[in-house]
Amino acid sequence: MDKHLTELALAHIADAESPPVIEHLRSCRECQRAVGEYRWLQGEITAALKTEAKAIPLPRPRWWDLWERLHGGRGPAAATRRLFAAAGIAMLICSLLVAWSLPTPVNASSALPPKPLSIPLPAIVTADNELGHVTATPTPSQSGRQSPSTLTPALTLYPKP
Amino acid sequence: MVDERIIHDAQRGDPAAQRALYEAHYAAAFRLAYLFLQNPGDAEEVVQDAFVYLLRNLDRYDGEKGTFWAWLRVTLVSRCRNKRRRQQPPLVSLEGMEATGRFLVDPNAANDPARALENRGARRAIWQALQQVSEGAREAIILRFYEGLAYADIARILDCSPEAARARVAHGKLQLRRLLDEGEERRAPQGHPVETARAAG
Repeated sequence: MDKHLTELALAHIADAESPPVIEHLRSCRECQRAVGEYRWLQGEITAALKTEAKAIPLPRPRWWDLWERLHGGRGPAAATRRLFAAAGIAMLICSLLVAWSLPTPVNASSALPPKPLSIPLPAIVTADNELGHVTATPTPSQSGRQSPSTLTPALTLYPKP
Repeated sequence: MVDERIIHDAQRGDPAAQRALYEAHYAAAFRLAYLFLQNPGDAEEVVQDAFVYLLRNLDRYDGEKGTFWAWLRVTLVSRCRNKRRRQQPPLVSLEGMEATGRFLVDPNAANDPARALENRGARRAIWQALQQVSEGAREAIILRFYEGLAYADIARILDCSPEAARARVAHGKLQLRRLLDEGEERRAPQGHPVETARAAG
């Protein structure tokens, strides 16, 4: 018996579109078996590939993404995004305008005058009518103290003669 | 696969026809891209890229030269190959192959759930072993045994001669058989029941 065919030749023969007529193959059971195993393997490869391809979950077709890419961001999704962006900007401008037109909010604590550390007492005022009009000057305090009386009039006008 | 009228309308810029064209081929395109890339995210991206290209160049499509699917397949495979070249190929461990399946599958397992399970494991092992096969051989094998293409068509897609395409497939089968045999020897030194039965038969 002549030499066995090489593995590569057997693999070729198993899948040949028009199998060559090889005398050795007609008579050699071992080579025939090897070709049979390659043919069987081919069937298993097909089955394995189809099983794997079917097992993978199919993602949803993303037509609108494709559409946007085709038309340079002119698809419905892009239009919606632009609409939302415009609405957002408009709302921002409106809120800024409203905020600007409203009076400054008064803070209760800042509206009150600062609490004085000491209450100034009204000074005694002396009226002077020498020059035809009344002027009032605070009376210098006696012994460094000002009158504690709050009833002391701040200004006394004397009737003209 | 798709009505020529739809393609004609799509060529005239009808968005509904373009969408119909896209949706009609999406599943097949995704699955083929997945077999090439083994990554659903990458497959999805490549399918979108391929459709962007095809729909932009739809006026170049000539139905007499081939089907739309054939045109899409060439574009898709080309993009998958580019994508793979830019990436590191995924590594599959031999231990993983051993854990998931065996080489020999009983072909008469259709009515036996246990055997069917075994076959499923074996197919998984084949798929995983296929990742170890050289890239050119794997591409040719997918086109030959999944798409069922003639060597002349494979050669056109892979940009090589039909003889080279045939050689790639044969080398791929050889590598695959060796890988599966190695996995089987490591896993079951005592002999697989199906293998034993076959040997006895």
